[in-house]
Amino acid sequence: MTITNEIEILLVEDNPNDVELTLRALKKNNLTNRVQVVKDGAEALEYIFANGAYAYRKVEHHPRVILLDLKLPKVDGLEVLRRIKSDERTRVIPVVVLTSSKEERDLVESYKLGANSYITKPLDFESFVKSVAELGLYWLLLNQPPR
Amino acid sequence: MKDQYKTKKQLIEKLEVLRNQLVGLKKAETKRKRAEEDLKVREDSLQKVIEQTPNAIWISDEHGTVIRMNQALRDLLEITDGEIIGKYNILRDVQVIKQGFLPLVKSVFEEGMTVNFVIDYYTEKEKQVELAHKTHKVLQIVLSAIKNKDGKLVNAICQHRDITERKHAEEALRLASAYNRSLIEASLDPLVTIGSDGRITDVNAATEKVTGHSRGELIGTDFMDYFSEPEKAKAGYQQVFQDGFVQDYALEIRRNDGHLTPVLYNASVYRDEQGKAIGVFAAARDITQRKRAEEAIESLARFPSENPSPVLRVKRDGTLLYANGASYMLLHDWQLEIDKPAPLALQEAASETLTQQTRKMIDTEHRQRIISFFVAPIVNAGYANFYGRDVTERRQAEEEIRNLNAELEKRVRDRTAQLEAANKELEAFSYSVSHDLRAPLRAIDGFSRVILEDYTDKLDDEGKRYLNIIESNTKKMGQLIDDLLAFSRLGRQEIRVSEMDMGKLAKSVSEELKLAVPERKLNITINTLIPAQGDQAMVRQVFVNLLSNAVKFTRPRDTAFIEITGSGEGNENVYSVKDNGVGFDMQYVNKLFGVFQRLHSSEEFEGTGVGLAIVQRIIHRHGGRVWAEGKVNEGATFYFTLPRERRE
Repeated sequence: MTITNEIEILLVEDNPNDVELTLRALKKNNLTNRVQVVKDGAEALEYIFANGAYAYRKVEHHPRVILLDLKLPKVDGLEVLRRIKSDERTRVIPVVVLTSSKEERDLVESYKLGANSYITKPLDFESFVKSVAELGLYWLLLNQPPR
Repeated sequence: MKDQYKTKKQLIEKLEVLRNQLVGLKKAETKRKRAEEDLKVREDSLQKVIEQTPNAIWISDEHGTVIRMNQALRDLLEITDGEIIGKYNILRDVQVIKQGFLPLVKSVFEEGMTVNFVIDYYTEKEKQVELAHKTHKVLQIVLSAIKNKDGKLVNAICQHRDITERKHAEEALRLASAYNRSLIEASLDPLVTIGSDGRITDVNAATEKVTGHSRGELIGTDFMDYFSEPEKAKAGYQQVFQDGFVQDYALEIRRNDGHLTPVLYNASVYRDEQGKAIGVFAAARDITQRKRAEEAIESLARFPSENPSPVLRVKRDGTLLYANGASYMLLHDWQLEIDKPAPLALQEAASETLTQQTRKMIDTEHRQRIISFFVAPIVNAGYANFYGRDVTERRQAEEEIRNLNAELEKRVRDRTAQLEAANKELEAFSYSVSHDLRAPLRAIDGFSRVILEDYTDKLDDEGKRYLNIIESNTKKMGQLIDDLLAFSRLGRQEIRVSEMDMGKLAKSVSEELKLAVPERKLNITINTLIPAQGDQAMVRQVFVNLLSNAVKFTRPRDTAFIEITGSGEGNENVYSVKDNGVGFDMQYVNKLFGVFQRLHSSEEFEGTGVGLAIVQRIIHRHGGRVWAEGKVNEGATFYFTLPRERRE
């Protein structure tokens, strides 16, 4: 966990296996040194809004992208998304909803709340790696985030 | 003469004789003269009498020509002697001839009769020789013959009396009488006059009609003879003589054929100049119609009075005008009294309906009973009629139905709530499944792959094979989860109805399938399919599943023959997918459409056993049916129907 460097990716994921597999996939694309992992929605909000354990942070120091699982302990992913997108300071952060759910209502609700992308975690590890890698490349390399 | 002078003596004698004769002659002469004078005196005095008599007279000769008339006649008819004497002859009088008196007049001159007649002299334009040519007179004439000693007619004398005034008076009286008569006759009511002795003195035509007797038959007979109750009739006219009148005296007139006419008599006496009652004038009014009407009213009045339901009438001011027997029985708690204030509920309804001129219904309660009143205002008459009905049972039934409905609604609500809760639970469950069941699989799959990637040099072939088995099973598990979720989602998904070109749909699905298995020889025939209404995506899934099955279960065949048909039958469309595949045993047909039900091993034919369950669910949700026919090794045919008119 790097605290000195500016965080490029915030991964909000409670399942350690998924975290590990995701990090592995990112690592394969040389992106691991820029990932911050939080384990639940509450922590994600503390991090994003620089309070609680992350009070030393500055809200303005946005991650380049947030990979957000929907099914999270304490505060669920949709609520986190809502808070991010309803705050002037954070609404510009691209949020990619990354979940195993294929439920349509999750998708609809995510876009309604302002999710920038929605990716169903494929069961097939290869395609999972591929989509995560593509995501990382897309947001971190190809896209210029608004300043 | 010569012989007369023979002797002196003789001569003297002769002379003496002659002298005597002379004297005699002189005497005779004197006598005659005296007689003549006497006659003249007599004639003069007669003339004077005639002249001065107040009767108007003329005298004619034996031929009728007037030879003398008197002053009275001159004055009466304003005529002069010059106009009449020697000129006027009654036998040639135009009016005498015109008015038919000539034979009478002739009888005077020819037979010496005395006649009496009345002649009307009216002035005509053309002047004729007649007596009264200057003035209109009605004259009564008495004409008589004057005869001599031998009975021979020598003169005629005519006396005239002026009766003009009398005639006029009589005429006026006659006209007045005719007028009265016509008034009497014009009356439709039988009118009759009765003398003090009770005899009929006059009747009109209406009386003739009602009695069946003619006027002639009636007059002079007893009034009382023409009634069903003669004594009562007699008492009636006696009462009139006594009191001067009767009013609405009821009698029945009996006609000669026995028919009775009910009448009401109004009668009064009429009196002479001295005020003595000399008769009764009686007018009858035929009340047959009225009686009939009264009877009709009476019989109609029985409708409310015999009505077993309450019927009442209430005046605008709230007074109770009428209440039938049923009202007193059924509304016993109201203590109804005619001409007293009606119960408040009725007063209010009467006033309201009369003011608004609308009908309405009101309910009133009477110790366990409910009476419903239809209130009909009679605005012109200023009252309202109330027609009641005992609606207790109906109201109870209605109340029961209401309660049942309410209970039913509550049950439906409860059940709906339960269903909704169950649905929510199911949704939460499937949501959970979709997230949580997948995560471990992802881990198993992922880390198996990690081992294969990172530790491939430390594994022998058997180890790698096991890992591959793990991987393929996780994939299968994933597929099962997906199918199950898809199936459960189907139950909740909304159906979006549109027109579907079933042929096009089947064709696109079959093309896709052909691409997926390029190694297979597929002969898919799509007949003309009748279009249908339904959710295109869902029905497409039906074709996908059925055709996939057909392709799958024809795998052992060199060439797969698959045929799709679809036509209208009754109020539904029937579609079928037939193949020449391995078929199935009809005894397991019931298991075909169950979830996870499979008739083949996964080694033989892969699959999760959800495809046909999904087909069934989609078709059921469209209001259609599914079934299948097959035989082991002889292929299978799957049918589904879609209703012609989709229920919304």
